[in-house]
Order: sequence, then structure tokens, then C-alpha cells
Amino acid sequence: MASNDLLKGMLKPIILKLLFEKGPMYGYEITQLVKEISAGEIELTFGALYPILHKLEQEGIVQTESEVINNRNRIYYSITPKGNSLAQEKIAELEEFVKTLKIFFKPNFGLKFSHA
Amino acid sequence: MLDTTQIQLIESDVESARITLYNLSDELVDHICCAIEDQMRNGKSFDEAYALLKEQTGIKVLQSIQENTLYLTDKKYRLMKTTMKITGNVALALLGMGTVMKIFHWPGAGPALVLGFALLCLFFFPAVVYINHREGKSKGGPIMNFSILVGGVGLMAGILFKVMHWPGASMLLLGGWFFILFIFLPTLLYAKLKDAKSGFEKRVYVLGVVALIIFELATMFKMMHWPGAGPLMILGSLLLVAVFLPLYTNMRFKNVELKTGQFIYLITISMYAVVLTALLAMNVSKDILGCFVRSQDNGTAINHYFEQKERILAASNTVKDSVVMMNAEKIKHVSEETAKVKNEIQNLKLNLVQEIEQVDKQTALAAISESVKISKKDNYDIIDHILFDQNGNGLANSLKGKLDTYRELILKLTTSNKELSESISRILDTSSKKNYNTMVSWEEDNFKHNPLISTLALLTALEKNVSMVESSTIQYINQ
Repeated sequence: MASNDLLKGMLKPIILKLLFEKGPMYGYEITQLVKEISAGEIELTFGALYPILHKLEQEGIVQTESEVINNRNRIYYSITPKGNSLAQEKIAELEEFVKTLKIFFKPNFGLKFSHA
Repeated sequence: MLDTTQIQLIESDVESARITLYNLSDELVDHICCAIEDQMRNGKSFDEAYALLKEQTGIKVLQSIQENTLYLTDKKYRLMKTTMKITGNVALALLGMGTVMKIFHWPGAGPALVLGFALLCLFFFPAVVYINHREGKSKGGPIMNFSILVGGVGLMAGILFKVMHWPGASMLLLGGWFFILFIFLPTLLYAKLKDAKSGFEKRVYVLGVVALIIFELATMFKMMHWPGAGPLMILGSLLLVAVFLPLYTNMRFKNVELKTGQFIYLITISMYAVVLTALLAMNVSKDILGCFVRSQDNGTAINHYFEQKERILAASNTVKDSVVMMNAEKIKHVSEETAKVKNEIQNLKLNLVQEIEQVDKQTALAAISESVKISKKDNYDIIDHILFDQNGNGLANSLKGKLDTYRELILKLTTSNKELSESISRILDTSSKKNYNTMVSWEEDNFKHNPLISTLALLTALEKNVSMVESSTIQYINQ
């Protein structure tokens, strides 16, 4: 399973990507989906999730909508029009970063050293 | 799917974690419900599933989610939290260092204490109140926050002023106490009563707040040197430690999951409170009281000698009869006036011992000549009451008047010997003294907040001085 240290900073773009592709989601749904997609490799606890969601809401990137389901309030998060471009930017940034990161795992970092 | 009662149970648990942030409590309830429903689909019962979940996510976890969210989203909260951490640590270090420096009489204790207290009053404490308010831990609303802020800052500033001997300490302390006793504690009680689930719980809370009010009143009486602090303190601390605390811990920790940390914290804090109270109630350490016992008994012995001296010396009087006749009138006058002053002092001692020990004249006289017999050696509340009245015209003041008249009489008689009259005027000096930049009258300097045993020793020494002056004066007249 991925450690918390590695996950730091990745969670925001991951959450944004999910919301961007799947549309409005509620907290528990997000945690379960992350678990499912990563085959249990990434565990997004609710302790980590909700502070990030509230931060994103405060920044105006996501918005909330409350709906009564099964006798309780459920809060759905979706990306705002304003947050759309920013979400794409963040996702692209992460993709770029992963590409860069991969280079480090190639033998010899993909470089051809000359042994003259 | 969960039914309404189950959801209500979860809601009340989340509520008890004091989650007040917008949307967050709804989200957490929904999240917990979803997780339980998942478990139940796997064949677990509601109780099993909820118990398992609670193990992983207790109240502390829920609270930390709220704290983390506030930390991320609220700039002011973030600032306050940082302020609290930094100033709290720095103030503690400064106060600790200041105390050590004060104990060892090293220079710099004053500035360290002042700075530490200033940080505590102006930054740390307001930040704590704000954070408590934002985390939803204080339920009494603005009145409670305001009263604890003003009262707490007033008290802390008062203690600082008292330690530094700055004027206005009493006003600050009284003001702080007023806010805490009559506004904060009642609002706290009101909030607790609204929360209480059973009649028993309500009674425990009322008892707790009443005990706390009595205890705080006692501390206030003690610091202001008002009489009656002792019994109040015993009553308050007994109610608090022997009655309220066992009931409260029993109620709080019986059914809820064992909170060892909180329990240890509660017991430790209570122990500190009790020990500090005991120290405060003792006034003066026993060793120092012992010194005054010796000084008092020593003085009594000397005074006894002076009483006998004139009679003993008269037997071997070698001065011519004619001279004796000439000076007899003067000497008689001096002896009479001296006797009056000594009588005044002796009556004062008797008065003090009788009032404080609540004993008859005979027992009081015996106790004065053998002062180890006095049981309330460290009492100073009642002394203040007897020696000083509201207008500053108490017995201490009238004693000063009598000494002044006596001194003038003796100085008139010895005026031709300058050295002697100067010595006498030094011995019987009752002028005001400068103390921490303010003028303090002779009677306040000597008798204010002075424990019984050292007051007795002081009065005895005064009596001795008067006897010495009498003896020298008579000797001078006889020459």
C-alpha cells in the first residue's frame, strides 16, 4: 500500500480527476472508488478526505449540494465551472510529474553513458 | 439500510464530538452510516459494525478532522493555533526561568516574569479561547467566551502585579474574580445543565459549580487577606475533592470507553490543586514561625528583667537623698507614662491572643509568656481586622499616637544630652518608610499582613525598647 508520505500532494489531483470524470460524488463514494481503482493500494481515509474537500470548496474549485437520502443529509461535491480549467491543469501537472518520475526507474535513467 | 434510531445514535455521537463546522457533521454521519451499511451487507449486525468502526474512529479522530479542516480553510484559525503553540511554550519557559531566578535571587527574574505573563495574558490565553470557540468546545456562546477571557486576563495580570508589587493588583484580581465567579461559572453551569441527561448528572454539575465558587471565593479571600478564608477553603476543597470529583469521575468514566489519558490528567490536576491549596492555607512555614517563638519568649524574659530592675537597683542606691528628692517628681512622671505605654502594648497583645485563640484572659497571658502554646501562630486575617479599621484608624494607629506622645515627653527631658536624645528618638521612631516607591506608614509597615506570632514578637520588642528608654532616662535624671 502507498505510504502517507508519498500520497501527500497527490490526493488533491486524484480527487479532482474523479470529480472531473464521474460528476457529483459524496465523501464515502470517493473513498470507496479510490480503493477500488487502486485495487486497495491507496487508502483515502475520511480524516484526509474531508479537510481537502472543504479546502477545495473554500477555493471555489468545487461546490456542494445537499440531498436527503436514507433519512440523512448527503453532501455531493462537484467541480464548479470556475474550477474546471484549474482541475484540468492540476491533472495535467500530475500526469507530467508521473512521467518525470518514471524516468528515475529506467535503467541508467534512460541515458546512454559513454565509457570512453 | 439503517433505521432512524440507529442514525440518531450516530448523530448524537458525532454531536458529542462537538463537530460544529458547516456541513461537516452531516458528512461524517453519512460517512459512518455508509461504512456500517457496507459491513452489514457482509453479514455483521449494526452493533458489531458500529463497535468496530468506533475502535478505528473515536471522538478524537472526528475532532482531529474538524481541526485539520479548520487549519486548512481558516487563515485566522491557523494564525491563532501557531500563536498559541509558540507563545505558550515561550511563556512557560520564561515563567519557569523567572521563578528559578526569583528563588535564587538572581537578577533578571522581574523582566522574565513580566514578559512571560504578558505573553500569557495578551497572546496565549486569547488564542486558546478563540480556538476553543472555533472548535465548538465552548458551548456557552459569546457571554462565556467573553467572561473567561476578561476574567482570566484580569486574574493573570493581577497575579503579575501582586508579584511585582505594582499598585492596582487588588483591583485586577477582584475584577477578574468577579467575571469568573459571577458570569463565567454560572454560564458554564447553565450550559452543562442543558446538556445533562439525567437528574443525577444535573445534581453533580450543580454541586461541582457550587464547590468551585466556594473554593474560588476562598482563594480570593486569602489573597485579599480578608477574614474567613480558612473555613471557606476547607469547605470548598472538601466539596470539590471528596464529593464532586468521585461522583464526576464515576459518572464520566463508568460507561464510556476507558479514557486512561483523560483520567490521569484529571487526577493529576486535582492533586496539584489540593497540594497548592494546602501550601497556600499554611501562610508561613513552620521553621520561620519557630524563630519568632524564640524571639517572643526572649523578649518576654528581658521585659521581665526590666520590671524587676528598678526594684533590685533601688536596694543598692548610692545617690544622695537630697538629689533623689529633687528628681523624684520627674522620675515618677516618667515611670507613670512608661507604665501607660507598656500597659497599652500588653493589652494589645492580650487582645490579639484572646480574639484569635478564643481563650480567656488567664490562658492568653500564659500563652504570651510561653508562645509555643499558641496554636494559630500564622493567623493574620483577624489581626488586620483588629489593628486596622476601614479608615486606617485602628488600634495600630492609636498605639502609634501613644508612642509619639511618649517620645516627645522623653525627648523634652533628655534634650540637654544630644547623643542620648538622638538614640532615643531612633529607638522610638514611628515615621513612614519608603517601600517599592510608595510611602508606607509605620503601623502598616510593621503590622499589616503580619502573622500573630511575629506581631507578638514585634510588640514585645517594642515594650523592651520602651523599658530601655525608661531605664536610660531615669539613669540620666539621677546623674
